[in-house]
Amino acid sequence: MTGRSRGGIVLWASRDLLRRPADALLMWLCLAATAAVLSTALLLTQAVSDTACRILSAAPSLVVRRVDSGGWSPLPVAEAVSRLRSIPGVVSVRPRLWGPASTENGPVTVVGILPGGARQDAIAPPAQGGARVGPGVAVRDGRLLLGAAGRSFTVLERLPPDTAMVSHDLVLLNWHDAGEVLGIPPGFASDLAVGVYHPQEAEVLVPEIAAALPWPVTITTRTEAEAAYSGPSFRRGSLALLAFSPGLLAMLLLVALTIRERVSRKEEIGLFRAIGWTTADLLRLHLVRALLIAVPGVLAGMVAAYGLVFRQGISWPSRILLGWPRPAPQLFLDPSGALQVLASIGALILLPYLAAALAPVLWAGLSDPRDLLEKGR
Amino acid sequence: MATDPKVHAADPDKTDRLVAARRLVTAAVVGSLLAAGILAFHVAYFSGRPVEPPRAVLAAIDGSSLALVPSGRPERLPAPPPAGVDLRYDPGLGFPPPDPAGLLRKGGGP
Repeated sequence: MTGRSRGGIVLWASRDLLRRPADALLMWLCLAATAAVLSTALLLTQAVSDTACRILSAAPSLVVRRVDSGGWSPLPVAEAVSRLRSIPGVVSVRPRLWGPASTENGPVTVVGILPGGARQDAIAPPAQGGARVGPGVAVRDGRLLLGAAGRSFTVLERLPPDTAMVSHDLVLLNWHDAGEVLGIPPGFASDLAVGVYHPQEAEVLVPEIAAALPWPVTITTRTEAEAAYSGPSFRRGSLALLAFSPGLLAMLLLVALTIRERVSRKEEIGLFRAIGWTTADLLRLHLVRALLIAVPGVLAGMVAAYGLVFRQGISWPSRILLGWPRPAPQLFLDPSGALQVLASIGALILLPYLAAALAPVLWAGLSDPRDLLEKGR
Repeated sequence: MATDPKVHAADPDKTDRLVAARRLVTAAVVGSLLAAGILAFHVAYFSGRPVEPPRAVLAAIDGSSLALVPSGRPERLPAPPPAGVDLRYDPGLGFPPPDPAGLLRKGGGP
């Protein structure tokens, strides 16, 4: 007999699935759940890391902090800026005033905005006694108590939730107020943001900057800052491992069940062979049958995982993985690299499953139909 | 010879089991294409967009860290703290001071 038509094979495979609808449904659910678990873990870690790196591409090339035996120490702005501006390759040196401060509802990060800042895109400093706060800062009656002394500030504006990955617990004050809250005297800054002409030169300038300053300093490059968000601090490896172990076990189980199910149908394969089906027909039938379950199942799991990770404004990862109490920052993650992750997960699930579905059929197709029929009895 | 009218009046959709099979194939193909289309559209539409607002704020304040962990934790600092200094125990943050029991010398030491 010659090969069967494509439409006939597809309908036959579908009809075969409907002979055991519960089995097909359970397999669909297992594949969807496995795809959802693996995709959620990998998409989340990849999306947090990618989004963090893209946001940090706007960070200063270098951050210079003074250290002493007690830890961080404020540095005198005028002296530090004049020393660093004389280094060839340095195009800007901007003092930063920031640090943690306590409120009634836990710590926040206070940032002082320099009046008449050199940057065109800088946020205008709030008036003295006023504050702009991030979306996660708790405010009572439009006022905020800051610092050990409980100094009161009027909240002028709340930054939008889609900036929460940077501003969730930020409190922006004018330079003078921030210095008072943080206990940093006028003329001093927490650290310096240094811009360089060629970003590739940043690493080279580190020893020159350290030598130009009369105090011990730590200098962080943008690359190091980005590495902190894709490295162990976000437990990327641990989270992936946590999802991968049960995911791979589930895949092994699915593969084993599929092989067992196909092997148990040797008699049927022998019957088809006896009435003239070729091995190619049988392979096509079982391939279509497996694809009819696996492709929609895996895609459904991926869509669920994608929605869980990339729905704009999710906060469950912040609460569960990043240790935030309520309110946790809303995450607006960038899906740029999602399709590559989904494609690799699709291949990881579909290839073993299809191999498990086809290998026993191929093996049986090479046998004598009479043997298959006799063994099935 | 008279035939039973009920046999001829039967709905072919109910008797032909390939109709259900055809529906299953249609549902699988349409569902898969829809899911793939939704994913592709969302990725194409939202790529790069969520980054712009926080990036603008970070650039405006010269920031170098994200608010992905609560304030006061070492991960919020631009560099790891100097060895031997644990900045979690900042008295201004209201965290409990370190447990002195861990600092006491245990038995068996010199």
